[in-house]
Amino acid sequence: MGYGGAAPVAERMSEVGESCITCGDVAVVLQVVSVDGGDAVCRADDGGTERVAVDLVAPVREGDRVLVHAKVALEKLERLERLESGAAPVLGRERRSASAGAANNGAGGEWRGRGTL
Amino acid sequence: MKYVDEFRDPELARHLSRRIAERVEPGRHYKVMEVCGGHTHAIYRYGVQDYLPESIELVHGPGCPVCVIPMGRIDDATVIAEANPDVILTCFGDLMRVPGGRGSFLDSRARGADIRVVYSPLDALRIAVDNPERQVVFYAIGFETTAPSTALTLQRAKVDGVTNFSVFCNHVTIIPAIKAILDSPDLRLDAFLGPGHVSTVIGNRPYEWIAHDEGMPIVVAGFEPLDLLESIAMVIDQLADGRAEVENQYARVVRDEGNPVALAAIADTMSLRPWFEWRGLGSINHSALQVSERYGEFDAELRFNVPGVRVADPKACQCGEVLKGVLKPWECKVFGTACTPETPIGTCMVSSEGACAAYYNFGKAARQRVELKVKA
Repeated sequence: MGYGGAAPVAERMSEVGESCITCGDVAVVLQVVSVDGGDAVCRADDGGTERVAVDLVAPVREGDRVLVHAKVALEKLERLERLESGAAPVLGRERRSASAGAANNGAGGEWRGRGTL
Repeated sequence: MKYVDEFRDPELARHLSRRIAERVEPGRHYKVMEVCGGHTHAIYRYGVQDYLPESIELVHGPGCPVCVIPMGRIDDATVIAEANPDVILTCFGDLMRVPGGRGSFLDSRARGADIRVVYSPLDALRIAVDNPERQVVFYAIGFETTAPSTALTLQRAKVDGVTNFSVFCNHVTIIPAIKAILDSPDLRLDAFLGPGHVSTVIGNRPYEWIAHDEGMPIVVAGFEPLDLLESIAMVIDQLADGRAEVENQYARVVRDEGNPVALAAIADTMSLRPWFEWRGLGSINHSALQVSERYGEFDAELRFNVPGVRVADPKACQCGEVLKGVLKPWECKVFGTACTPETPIGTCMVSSEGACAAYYNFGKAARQRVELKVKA
């Protein structure tokens, strides 16, 4: 089990928008290159790699995109596939109602809006 | 990031700007608070306010954990580092310049303490493994976005039997802070923008009381300019329709239930403190986390003699009012004069996500535009 390793991407994470890792609620999206137990080597879009703990989003596979904060993956991203096709975000077309099957907050049955980006 | 261009498209921004302008009620003033420091930073950095009607005021909340850390907790850590020569104190770089009553971590390092910057608590654990003759303390800080990384590190330390590692825990939780804001008698708000990555962990459900009990819209928002504009549009839509709901603009990342595995890791390794002091907000019940009894051997507050220092904020500093959104950064008496990012008096000027530093770095131009408009 690894503990982190070299920090090329992490160093850049601290520089994202000159913002602070902790306060900025900063996280970056990385792509899984290989999996090694509870860790995965992940790559940023500029080619830099980082060893990331993936225990909290397991299982992950090569090619998965994960949201990483402080070298720990917090979420697997699935909905970015739409953008990966090159399509720009389209505003105002994805608001759905509970009755139409969208997320329901379970407190009175009212619908919950969702972002479209 | 690969998708930056899509989320900064000026035409889509103009589209959202028009949509917002069409839905605001003439003569009504809207106060929308973002509770996340990342949002504050992005709002100033990208000039989001310039895309909004003048009737929409963005109020900056206490969403910067570095900004709300009381000076005494900085002093407690420097005492651990200076009184125990075998200690390596590790922390995120954001903390190094935060002023305590005895100076900052940088000052403490100049006095001889071994204080090192890490990018992750996992790095601190690595240092402990590599230095078995030293005691490695990680200064944990942050909202629920950061708490899972500390929790996972504690779990790994326990599994691997690392005995020279401990955590000085200062993690805080977002919901009690929002409650404290709403209890503040001198602030009237219309809606909230919810923190995007905190919500990745806790989900959307913890906010439901804001909509149902307080009758106030809240939209969980992403961090790109279009994310923020769409979130504000969703807030204004709710207000125009007379709705108060929890909505998720950042649905490409945030799930309603959050990350249950991360929440379980936090619950395993940490427990709620009865109370915790927030700079500017005072003592808030059940608003912070401590290392749980189950992981007590990794609790730096049990391993070392911690004085529990309490230090009053400098009188000139008005961070408290800024953190509650009562004062704008530039309305503070020492903003930009005695207090600058190079020589901060208050924590809001230290972190780049602090409202004062964000405004100092990016907001001057926007304010000059407003002043010119007023003069014209």
